[in-house]
Amino acid sequence: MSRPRGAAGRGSPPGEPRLVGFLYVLPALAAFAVFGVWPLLQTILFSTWKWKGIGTPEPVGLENYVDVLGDPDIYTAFLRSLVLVVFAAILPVCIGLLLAALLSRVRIRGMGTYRVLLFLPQTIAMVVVAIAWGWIYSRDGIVNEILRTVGLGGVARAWLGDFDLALPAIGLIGTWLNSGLCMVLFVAGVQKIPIDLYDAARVDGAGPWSEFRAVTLPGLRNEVIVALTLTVIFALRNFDLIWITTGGGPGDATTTPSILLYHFGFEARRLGTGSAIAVVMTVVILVVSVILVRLGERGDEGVAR
Amino acid sequence: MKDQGTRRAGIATATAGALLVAAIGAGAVPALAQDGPKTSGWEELGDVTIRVGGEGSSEATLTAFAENFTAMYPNVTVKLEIKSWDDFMGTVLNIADSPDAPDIIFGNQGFTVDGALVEAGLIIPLDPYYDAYGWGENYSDGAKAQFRFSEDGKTFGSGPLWGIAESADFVGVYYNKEKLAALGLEIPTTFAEFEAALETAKAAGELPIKLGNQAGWPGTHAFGVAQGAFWPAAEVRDWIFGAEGADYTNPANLQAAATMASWVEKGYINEDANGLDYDQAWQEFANGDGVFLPAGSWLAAGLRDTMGPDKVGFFAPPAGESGSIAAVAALSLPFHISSKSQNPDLAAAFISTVMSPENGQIYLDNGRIPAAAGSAGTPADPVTQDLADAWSAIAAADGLMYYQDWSTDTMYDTFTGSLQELIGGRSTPEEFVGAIQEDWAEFQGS
Repeated sequence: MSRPRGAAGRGSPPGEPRLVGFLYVLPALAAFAVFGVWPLLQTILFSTWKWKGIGTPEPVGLENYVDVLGDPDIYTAFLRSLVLVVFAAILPVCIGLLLAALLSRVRIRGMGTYRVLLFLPQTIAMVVVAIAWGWIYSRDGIVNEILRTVGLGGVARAWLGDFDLALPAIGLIGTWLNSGLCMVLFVAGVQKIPIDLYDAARVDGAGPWSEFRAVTLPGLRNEVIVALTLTVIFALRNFDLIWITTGGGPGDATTTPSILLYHFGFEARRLGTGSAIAVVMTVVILVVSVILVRLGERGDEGVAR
Repeated sequence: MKDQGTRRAGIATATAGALLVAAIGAGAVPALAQDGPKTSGWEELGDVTIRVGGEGSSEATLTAFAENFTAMYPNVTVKLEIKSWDDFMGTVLNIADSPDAPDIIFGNQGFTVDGALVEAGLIIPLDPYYDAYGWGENYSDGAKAQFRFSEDGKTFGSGPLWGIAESADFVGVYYNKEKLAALGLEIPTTFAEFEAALETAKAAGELPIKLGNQAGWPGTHAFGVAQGAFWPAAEVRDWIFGAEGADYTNPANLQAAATMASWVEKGYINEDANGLDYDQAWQEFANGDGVFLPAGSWLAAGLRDTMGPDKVGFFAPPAGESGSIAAVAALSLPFHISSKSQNPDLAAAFISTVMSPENGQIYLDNGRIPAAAGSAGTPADPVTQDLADAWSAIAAADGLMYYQDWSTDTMYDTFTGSLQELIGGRSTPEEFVGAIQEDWAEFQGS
C-alpha cells in the first residue's frame, strides 16, 4: 500500500499483478474471512478459556490442551478414527479403482445407470443415510433377515449394539457412501488417459494386472490423491453418521474425537475443552491433508521428468 | 386441603395490607424485603405481560393456567414461548442471558443448566416466595433439595431455593396384567418378591424385563430399580450433591450393580438391550413381549393407548433390604424467575397458581402427576391411578433418588457408557462403580 495509487499501472514491470486484482477476489475473501477464518480464531480463543457459554470466561492459558492431551480417551478416539479411515477412505479408493479398471476394459450395457446408482449415496442427506442404516443393522433389519434366511441366524445380532462390531459396522456405511464417489472420480480420470497408452500396453502383451499397474494407476494419481483427501477428511471429522446410529456407544465403542467434542463442548458445556478438541482435530486433519497433497505433488514431478 | 387454602388467603390479605402501607410510603419502590414480596393487587398494575420461556411437555398445562390467570386479571397477559426439548435445552442459557429474557424461564436440575444460571446471576432465589405462598409445605426435603444451589452455583443441594416445579417424573415398573395373571403372580411388594417373579417368568419362557438401552439412559432408569432396593435414597442424593466422603463404590451400591449384572446373566433382560431403540422396546412390550418394563411415568399414556387401559399396570420400585421405597425420581423442570424481570412478584404469583394443589386435575387430565402431597383431582384411568399411588408412596418415603447424571457435568456420558458396558458383560460391577466414582472424584477435586 506504500506505492501511490496508479503507480502499479505505469511504473511496474509487465506481469506484476496489479492491486486491482485483489478487488476481484474481495467478495470471496470477505466471505471466507467471516465464515472461515473468524470462527477458527474464535475457537482458538475459546480453547484458552474456562467458560460455560454465559457469564465471564476465565482465561486458563493452555490448561485445556493439557487436559485434552493428557486424557488417554482422546488417543483411543483417534485410533477409532483410524479404523474409520480404513473403512471409509482406503477401502472405497480400492473399490473405486477396481470398478474403474473394470469399466475401462469392458464395455458394459447401461453403464450410465450403474454409475448413477453407485454415486447415489453421495446425494442423500447424511441423516437419512444414518437412520436407514440404523434400520438395516437393527435386530429385525435386513442384514439379520438375510442371515436367518441362509441359516446363519446364530450370527444375527443388533449390530450397532455390539461392542466389537459397531465401529466396523459404521465403517462399512462409510465404504458404501464413498465408493461411488471414488469410482466416479476414477472413471472420469481414466477417460483422460490417452487411449494409445492402452494400445501400446496391449501390443506389448500386458495382461489386465500389468496394464492396470503401468497405465491406469499412474494416470489416476491425481484423482486418487483427491479421493483420499476427501474421504480421509470425511472419516476423521464425521459426526452426524455416528451420532445418529450409535451416539458413540455402546459404552464408548464408537466414540471418535468429534463425539468427545460434543460431549464436552455441548453436553457438559465446557466450551474451552470442546474448543481445544476442535483445534486438535483441525491440526490433525490439516497435517494429514498437507501430507496427502504433497504426495500428489511429488508424484507430478516424477511423471514430468 | 381446606385449611391450606384458608391459610394462604390469610397470608395474602396480611401482605396486601402491608403492601398498601408500603406503597403509600415508598412510592415506586417494590415490596420491602422484611415485608415479603407482593402477593396480590395485580389488577392495579395496568396492562402488563409476563413471558414464560418453557419446554414443550408443559405446553398444555401452562396454556390452561395462562387462560385462568388472565381470566382473573384481564390486564395481565401471559405469553408462552415454548420450544421442543432439544431446542430449549440447547438455547436455555442464551435465552436467560439475552437482554430480553422471559420473566419466567424453565431450567434443568444439575450443574449444566441450573448451576450455570445461578453462577451467572441470571435467576433470583425464590425463598421469599416459598415463604409467602407456602410452596415448600407439600414437598419433602428430598424434593426441595434439587432446587438448592450455593450463591456461586458451585455447590448443589444446599443454599437458597432457586426454582420450583409442580409435577413429578419418576421411574417405576410397568407390567403386563394378562401375563402377570397367567403366571399366577401378584404385584410384588418387596424386592425379593420382584426377583422371584422374574425367575418365575423366565422359567415359564417369558421375557422378564424388556429394555431398549441403545441410547444409554433407559438402562440407568432400569438400574435404579435395583439400586433403590439396596442404597437408601438420602445417601444417593448426598452422593449426587458431592457430600464429603460419599462413595459410589459402597457395598450397597456394589450389590445393586451385581444384581443388575446377574439379571443380564440369568437372561432376565433381553439380550439385544444395548442395541435396541427405546421407543421400539416399549412398543414391543406393549405388543406382548416382556412381563415387566422398568420405565418412567411419562410412558403411561403411550402404553395405555397401545395396550388398552385395563392391560397395563404400574408399581413403584419395591422396597428392598432398607424397607423403604426409593426410585429414580425428581420433580419436573423447574420454573425460575429471571433476574432481569421487571415484575418478579407477578411472575411468582403466576407460578403460584401453577403450583396450587387445587389445580391437580389439570395435570391429571394432561397425563401428568401433580407433585404436591394432597393434590386435588381424580385420575381418569387405572394406570394413571397406579402412577398417582406410586408417587404418593415415593414422596411419603422421601425416596427420590434423582438422576445420577446430575452429579457432575460429564456424568451423563460416563454413567450411560459405563452401564452399557456392565449390561454388555464388558465390565464387572466393581469396574462399573469404580468408573463412576472416578468421574465424581475428579469433579469434586476440580
